[in-house]
Amino acid sequence: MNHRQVPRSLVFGIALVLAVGLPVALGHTAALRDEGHAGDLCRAGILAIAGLSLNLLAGYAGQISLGQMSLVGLGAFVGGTVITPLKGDLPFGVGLVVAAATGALVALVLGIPALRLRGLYLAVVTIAFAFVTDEFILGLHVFGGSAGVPVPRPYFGHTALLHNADLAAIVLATLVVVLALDVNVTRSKVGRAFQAVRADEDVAAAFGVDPARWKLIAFSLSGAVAGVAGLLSATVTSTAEHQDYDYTASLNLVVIVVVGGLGSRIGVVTSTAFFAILPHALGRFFSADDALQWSFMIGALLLVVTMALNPRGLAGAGRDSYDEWRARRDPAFTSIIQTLPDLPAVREVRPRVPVGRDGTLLRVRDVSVRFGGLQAVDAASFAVRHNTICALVGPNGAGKSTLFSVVSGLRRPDAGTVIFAGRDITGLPPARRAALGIGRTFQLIGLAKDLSVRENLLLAQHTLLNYSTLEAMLHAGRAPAIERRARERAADAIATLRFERYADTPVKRLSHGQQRIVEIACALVTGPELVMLDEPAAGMSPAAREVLAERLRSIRDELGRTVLVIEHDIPLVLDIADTMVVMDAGRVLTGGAPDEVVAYPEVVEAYLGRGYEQALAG
Amino acid sequence: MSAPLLEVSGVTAGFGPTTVLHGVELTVAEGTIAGVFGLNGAGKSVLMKVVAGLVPARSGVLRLDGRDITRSSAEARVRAGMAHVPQGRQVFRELTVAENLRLGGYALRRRDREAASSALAEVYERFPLLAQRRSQIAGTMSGGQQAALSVARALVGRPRLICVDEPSAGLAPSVAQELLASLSALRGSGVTMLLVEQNLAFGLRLADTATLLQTGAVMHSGPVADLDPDLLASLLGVGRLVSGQVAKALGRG
Amino acid sequence: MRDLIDVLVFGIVAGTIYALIALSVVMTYRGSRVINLALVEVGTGGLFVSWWLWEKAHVPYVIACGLGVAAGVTVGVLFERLVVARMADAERLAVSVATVGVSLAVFGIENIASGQSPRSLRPPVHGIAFRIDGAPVLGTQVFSLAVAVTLALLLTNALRRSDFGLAVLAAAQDPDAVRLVGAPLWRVSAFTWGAGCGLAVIAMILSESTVATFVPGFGGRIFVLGLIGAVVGGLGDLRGAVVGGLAVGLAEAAVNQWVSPHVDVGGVSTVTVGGVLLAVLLLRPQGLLTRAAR
Repeated sequence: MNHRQVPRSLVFGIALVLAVGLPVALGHTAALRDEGHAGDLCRAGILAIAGLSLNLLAGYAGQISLGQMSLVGLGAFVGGTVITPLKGDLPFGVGLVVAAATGALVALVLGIPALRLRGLYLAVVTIAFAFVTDEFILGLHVFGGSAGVPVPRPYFGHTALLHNADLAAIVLATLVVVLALDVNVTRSKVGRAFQAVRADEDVAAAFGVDPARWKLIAFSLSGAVAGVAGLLSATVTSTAEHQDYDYTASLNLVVIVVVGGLGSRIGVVTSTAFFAILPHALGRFFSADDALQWSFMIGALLLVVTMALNPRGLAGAGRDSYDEWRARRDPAFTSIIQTLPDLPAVREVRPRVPVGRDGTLLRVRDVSVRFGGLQAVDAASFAVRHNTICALVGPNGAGKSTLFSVVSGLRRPDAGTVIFAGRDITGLPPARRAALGIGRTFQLIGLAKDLSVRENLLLAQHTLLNYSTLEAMLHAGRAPAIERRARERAADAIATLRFERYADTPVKRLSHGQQRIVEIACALVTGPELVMLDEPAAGMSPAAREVLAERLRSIRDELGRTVLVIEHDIPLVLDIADTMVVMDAGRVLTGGAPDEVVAYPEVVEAYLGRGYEQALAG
Repeated sequence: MSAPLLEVSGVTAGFGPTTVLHGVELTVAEGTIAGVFGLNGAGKSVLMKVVAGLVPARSGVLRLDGRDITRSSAEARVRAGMAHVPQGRQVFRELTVAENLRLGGYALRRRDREAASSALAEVYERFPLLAQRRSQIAGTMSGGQQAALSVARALVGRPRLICVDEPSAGLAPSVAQELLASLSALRGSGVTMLLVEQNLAFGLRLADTATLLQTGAVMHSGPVADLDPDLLASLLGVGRLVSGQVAKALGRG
Repeated sequence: MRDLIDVLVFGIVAGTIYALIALSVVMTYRGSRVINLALVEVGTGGLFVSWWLWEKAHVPYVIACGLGVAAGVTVGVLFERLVVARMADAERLAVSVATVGVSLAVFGIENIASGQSPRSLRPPVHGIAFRIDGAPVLGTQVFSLAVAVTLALLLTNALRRSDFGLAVLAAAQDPDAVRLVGAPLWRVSAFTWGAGCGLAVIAMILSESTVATFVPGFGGRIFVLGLIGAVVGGLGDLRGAVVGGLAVGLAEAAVNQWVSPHVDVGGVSTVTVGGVLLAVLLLRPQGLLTRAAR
């Protein structure tokens, strides 16, 4: 981390002064005196704000909306109605607040289906939303039908801001504020939570990010920004008209955001500028109307090309080629891990969990899980004592990973209870369990793969970052200090892993073994009481496995933590485990000290495969 | 010993930045069953996908009956005589038994209609249960019946080589048994098979030769009869727990 | 009674078009798990081609329509070959977003070529077929229903008769498994995109003959309601698509007849249908007809 960075607030202040000062100054002297040009600048700025609102939702949180302009439209109509002299006659500032609130509220409602629907189904809902909103706006008398709502110019003191250049100052200032908000979001737990939800909701939950909550926050934040864009837009055009905010307009917004690069604010702003200038450039060859059509078509084709080449847009393509270049230059990026680095020390970042008198940290009692017709887990019971290593073994399909999901909360059992540190947690969502001190890894790597190693280590600390979303957005209050401490912990972990050269590389660029190490580090960085590892040795070399055994022992002995590990490598298990639980076909066959367990004939049978005796006979 | 039907030499493959297979060598002689064994993450299923043509080999050569198929598409390999029993008894659930078998004979029927219909008749003879249920929707059959159907679907194309991917994975033990029975019945009928498996009892019962994979590289390869039980046990991570049992499974206990 | 007949007639007439669009959505979805968001605009593009051939080049009506459908099929196949095939490993949603580009591009071409002046193509069948209780039913409307039902039956049954058709049906479950039996997946995928776009052109030709005129982008609402029909019927279920489309048409007609006149707000029927969509998605995401969840 570069601690001599210019403070964010200073950059923001300078940008704000420029955003207001330049258009006002230019508007009274040079190019912007032309109302048409100043109007174009306004429209471009508004489109950028709308694009950023879509980027918040689709680029960061991964919730694609094909009806974003409807939220902008609602901001325009409701905000416009509130400030128009014929109806509300309230000040412009109040109108902006009302527009933001409208957008946020409607987006929140639109987000509710997103709690259950993903991907294409959510896209279908947003398309329907676009059409419903369009007809709703048209049908409501207060919105003036197809004539729309006339919107007055805002006042500065007692002067109406009649010049577009003055409006441009307002628009650009708003754009700067939105950009600052965007920066604060992405550099805090808020943006990381969004990106975790986009990457994988189960992984997010295991890191303590409640996907439902953060989806709704993403929707309302995006809606608020869209609403503000709406009122600005209606102010510039002097009328809120429904066709400016219809489904086609939403699709054109998607073009801008996707071509620029989902998830990149610079990409979005650049792309907006490009599409604002494009019709003017084409105006030399075509009539004004046709030039507009041609620019839409070029956008449409660019969209197709972008999606075919790199769905993360121009910004994504740039990022990818940079990463690839780095990976090619540095063979360490693709090497197999021959030996494990040290694992990060667990810092006492939260109070230790009190363990009951009997010393049991985790108790699973009569847990059953059915998938369709398959009894994946069948009345499984076992207990893990505090400060021990417990190995869960058994053949593929025995139900071990399902049981992991039951303990970490990703799957509700059909029957049975899970008790952690004397408390029944069967009904708790996974994010709450993570906060209680249960950390886990996944059989397939459980990381947000588009995020860097550093960002994943920060994401893993989500439950420790007890600043509010508002503080995060303003980069104020508790947020800066807490965030700084989290970054220090991440930097320490990276240093211990000796992963400095990959620190800011997206995890997906690393080899499987490296990803596994990052994942284990993420599970340890918050100092969880119970560390659950799903086949940590899979794909590791024999030498690395031996080191892993050492590391697991140190988690128990030096850090005083409890480890529950799924592992196929029996010698490894015999080496490190204090207790061993054997599963087969969903049932717990037996549990106890490894040496005793191994003697059971059922265990051997489970491991060799049922019916090995027939195999011998045959 | 005849020339190998399938020859995998020096194959390296992986996804994105990760290399999973490192110069894998493997041969399957005509009329034999070759088993590939290894722990999770050893690269077994990637090897199967490379053989099938679903994952490209970064380097190395694949030959089927002497012909270089390294650059052939998955479809072309099936036309050249490969058939697959995919992991987890993947039959086409929405289609009937007869329709599943028709799709199994897709490539053969284009080449030789008569051979296709006689192959179908043979398969029905081998699996009388499927003949009875030919118009049943596959998804409504029991797990064991679906397993039989997935084997039948591979046979109906008269393949030179059948690739069986982890037949026991994700199946209830009784279903795995039925699948094992279906596959065992093919032994001695001159079928050549490449079998990838983690379950030792299952695999050793079927295979003539064993190739042991660890972290994407071949650690040992040879006839099952010559396998050293201790080596096998340690490579498969079952260690001293079962090395005695492995010896028994190998018939040398 | 008269009310009910009106609702049934209007509902089935509109529902037929929605059913055809739903069918084309489902057709594409089965091959590659993608919703083609360009369907209706490509359909309208095909309609423009037919109109131009018939009105300007004086090509016989049936041939003009056939060539319009062929144009739609070509766009679908080309898009599959040039874009979808390259996105085999991409998220399915990303492919859907790419179709947005096709939609906007076709819309742009129509606008540049023809502008917003309304055009009209003659209906396939002239005159009134019969009256029910005095309410006229147009020949075209009967014809459209017959076409939709025939196509639905053809697609669900005829596909089962050929090996290739079976591969198309199987691809919906697992594309890789189709390759592993040696069927050419790329041809299956190209077929579903071409067929989807072709069906969309047929739908738009038939819809135009009931609304009388068309302009670029006139099919937006039809698309949304057809899409909702497809989802309600269970995305991926060809028969369900027809039932879903008709159900949406009937719901819309019923609300227009019995609710809208008493409510002082526009767009009630769209809101209702949108509500039905949400209810189905949240309560029975597999669709109304599909028996079991996947």
